[in-house]
Amino acid sequence: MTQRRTLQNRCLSWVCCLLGVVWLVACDVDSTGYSPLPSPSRSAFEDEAGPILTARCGDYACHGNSAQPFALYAVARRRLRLEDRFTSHPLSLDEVDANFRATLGFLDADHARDTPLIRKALGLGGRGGHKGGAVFEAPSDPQCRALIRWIDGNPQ
Amino acid sequence: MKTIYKLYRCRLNAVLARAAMSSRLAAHVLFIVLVPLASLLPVTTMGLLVGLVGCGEQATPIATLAPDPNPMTAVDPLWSKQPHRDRPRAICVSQDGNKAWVMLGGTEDSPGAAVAVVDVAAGTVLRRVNMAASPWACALDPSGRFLVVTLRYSDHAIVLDAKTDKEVARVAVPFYTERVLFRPDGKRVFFSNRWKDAVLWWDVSVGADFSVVSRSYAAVAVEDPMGTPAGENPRSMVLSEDGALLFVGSATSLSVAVINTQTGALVDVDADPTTQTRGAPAGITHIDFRSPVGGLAVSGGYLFIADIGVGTGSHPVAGRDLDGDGQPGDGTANVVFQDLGNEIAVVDIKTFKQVHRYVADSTCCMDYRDVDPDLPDRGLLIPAPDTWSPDVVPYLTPKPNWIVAGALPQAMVAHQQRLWVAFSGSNEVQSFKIGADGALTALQHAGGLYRTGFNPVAMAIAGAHVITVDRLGESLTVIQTTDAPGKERHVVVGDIGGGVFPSTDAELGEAINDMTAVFTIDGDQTCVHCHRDNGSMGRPIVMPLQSNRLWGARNIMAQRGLYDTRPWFHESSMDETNFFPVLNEFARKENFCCEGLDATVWSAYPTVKQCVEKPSMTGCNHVMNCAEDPPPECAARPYAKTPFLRRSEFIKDAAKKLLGRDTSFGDALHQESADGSFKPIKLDFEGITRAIGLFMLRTPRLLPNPHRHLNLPTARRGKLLYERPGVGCATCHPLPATTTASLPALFSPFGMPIRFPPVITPTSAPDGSDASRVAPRFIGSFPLTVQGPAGVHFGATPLRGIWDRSATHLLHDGRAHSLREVLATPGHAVLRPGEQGYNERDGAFDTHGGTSHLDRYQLEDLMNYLLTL
Repeated sequence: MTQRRTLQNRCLSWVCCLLGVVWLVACDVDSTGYSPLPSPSRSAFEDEAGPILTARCGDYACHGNSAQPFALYAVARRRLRLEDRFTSHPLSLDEVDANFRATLGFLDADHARDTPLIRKALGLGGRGGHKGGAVFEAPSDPQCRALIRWIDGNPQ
Repeated sequence: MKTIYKLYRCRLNAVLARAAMSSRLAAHVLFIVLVPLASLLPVTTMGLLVGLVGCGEQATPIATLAPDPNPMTAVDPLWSKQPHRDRPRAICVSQDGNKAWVMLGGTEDSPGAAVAVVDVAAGTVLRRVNMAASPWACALDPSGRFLVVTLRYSDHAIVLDAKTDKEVARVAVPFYTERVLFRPDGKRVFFSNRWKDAVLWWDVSVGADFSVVSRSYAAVAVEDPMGTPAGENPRSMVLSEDGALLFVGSATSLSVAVINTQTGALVDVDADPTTQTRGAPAGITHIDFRSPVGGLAVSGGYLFIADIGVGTGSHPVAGRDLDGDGQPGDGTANVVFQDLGNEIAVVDIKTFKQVHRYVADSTCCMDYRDVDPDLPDRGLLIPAPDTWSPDVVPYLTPKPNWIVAGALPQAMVAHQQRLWVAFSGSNEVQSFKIGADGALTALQHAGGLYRTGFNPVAMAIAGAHVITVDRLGESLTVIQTTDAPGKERHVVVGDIGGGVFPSTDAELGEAINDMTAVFTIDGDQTCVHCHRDNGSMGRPIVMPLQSNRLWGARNIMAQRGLYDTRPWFHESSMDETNFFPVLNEFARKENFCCEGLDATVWSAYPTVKQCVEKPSMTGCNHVMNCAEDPPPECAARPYAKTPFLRRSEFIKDAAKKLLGRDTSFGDALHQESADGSFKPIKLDFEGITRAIGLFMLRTPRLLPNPHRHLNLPTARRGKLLYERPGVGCATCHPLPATTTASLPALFSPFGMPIRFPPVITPTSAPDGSDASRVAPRFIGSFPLTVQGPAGVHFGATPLRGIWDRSATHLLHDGRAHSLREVLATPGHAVLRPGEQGYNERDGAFDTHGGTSHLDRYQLEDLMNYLLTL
């Protein structure tokens, strides 16, 4: 009798677990089979996140270089138009758009702190590591916090 | 076997927790593989989801914040050894009312580390349960099986088995949990957190075991903002009877936040997204009486809020809008310290509107200046600046509502249609009958309240008893709810091994500071009305000796870190020997007939000089021998009904009543006799001043700093900026005292504390005059004050403890609503919409340190460093 009850309990456990897994998968993954990416604000990018990225990452030797997978346009550095290259002209809308799109590709995680963008900026590695090491000392650094806020959709 | 099983379960949970943190896909894989394995073991699915609770984290050491060092050492002539105290803070009672757990929180400088387990009926301490610093709050789960204990200076909460008092779990929470509360269904536990200015929660499963299913802050780094913001320094919490709403009171923000307990979201009490309480998230309005919140209680559909009223000492309808209601003045009839009240608001929980407000029974006319509804012209007879006119009378609360009889309502409980209120400033409990419409009827009146031990700060219902936790008395007071006052029982739960409180001169000062009521002519004011918990409330008030009482107002100084930052005040001119303007306000000499200062009496009599020259003048018998032969007008006065004709007699009598003595102990406060021996000093006006001063100096009382504990890189960079000459913070705020306005003076050729003219952010009246100036009598009281044509000279305000101050009322007059506004020059990129940079004077930037050249992130670094001071 006891053995039979134990068997029933185990079966029930298996069914519950499988149902749980199905539920979790159904809830968290869209029809393509991938998790939806964060979709932070374009305008907040232009106001706060973009300037931080161009200032801290957009050097010629780093991401101000089109050979990099994460390539940014930055004032007085890499520019869309050759004649702007050494000017202080502000970034054009096309350049900001390009920076925005490039950045979105590094936001593949649920929480901002787990995105490749933030992990690489903190020198924590991630896919492919980060050759440039840590850009920020800690996630609590004001600029890193500003990026996290932007990714999480809480710009100030 | 049990241990092996426990280890296995812990590892499994830890693996799951790590997996969940790293990647969802990986977590799913682990889940699919491990859950079936786990199901082979007798572990509940809920137990699997528990994560780290009860096992992995039990092994985690608890981090504890260290108190600041005490700069007062034995070389100081005022130093004397102080007894150890436990300072009970909170209480939880078993369901049958027989057993109580008392949190022995200790002090900021000497945190406690134990919970006393008390047999309520026998009145004995059964045992002490040791834990980390400092047990501060507790909550018993609705089934009565488990007790959650929070530790103010530690980063974990402890769960005890309520039967055995053994620890069964420890769970990470941020430092500075102030209160904890279970939802009636027992599935969610709320925490108010002073550091995070927020409410956090656990979802829990309580059966044979206690397990935390999830924590609202689990995915948030400890240095980040977390939880539901609930005002500055949120503390008191109470639930609506259906458990749907959580009310969170704040003594600093002066408001009550309302939280939906299901969603954890704030409720906008006016349902108007265009309005917002200062400091609250956009669109959120709290229940905002602009008064520091003491206790909270709920009965039926009504919320009861204990506060000290909205009065800021200002005129009711003229002058600066100190209470932030958009109207000039503060809307209350009385001014200056007579505006300090003891009040209970009743709020309809459905509408969040105040339906009743009850005020102090002494609203009029104990003090000679009180606005009198029965004699509306009397104020015109009182000399300036205390004159009042009949047009302020309508701003008094209606007389039938003058029923609150104690000083500083700090804790409340509602039980069977009765509201019980503990007054920490007068050591009393008063009960009220709660009507069907929430109206209160006082069941005891002044002079006939229940008496408690010293400084009741918490309350609980235990069966047919009400129990107060008497912080300074180291005791509990047990009141049978059916008894009339006079049959209270007292149970010692703390440490009186060094003598009952007070047993030293510094403790005398603490007693007077925290339980001042008996020394006040109204019997209803205390120092800690404004210096709440030795800190300060977040609203500027009008001070007695300012030149402009309509437009000048000052932030309140915290009673912390005072030894090495003397002289105090904005003017850097006040020290431990003189609190005249403050103590004088509590019992003005005009109230004591033979002091000869009440113009309404003595204007009809000759002066002392005239009587000396011509003793036969009519009335000279009263003038020259008032104590034995007071003028008949003294007894006929409709106010100041004190039997004492001189203030010194009143104060000494108050000392006897409160402390059982009218002299100091002599361990620090003594005077030398002619024979070279030392004898204690009298506790007259001068004596209580010196006792309070000694208490101010004896320990720093700085709250151990959680930001310093984090040691964040941003703060380290901020320190470099702080010390950089081009920024200049350290020039006027040098470490460690963070002020140059100190004695012994730093760098001062004249040995004077360094002060600067003019005030960077002068308070201006509408006519352009400088409202920051002080009255000549202020300079007379504090001769170190310097005031020239450019205005009053000011000292650099000490910055230690700024992390805990009201961030919405900074600078000397409270005008700055964030640290950003204090540091930034106008238009600086760090400022948020609607903020104003005050680092300028008359259009010249960088008058309060060089910050205009810093970028917004450097300024944030600097702010993050300031929070570590």
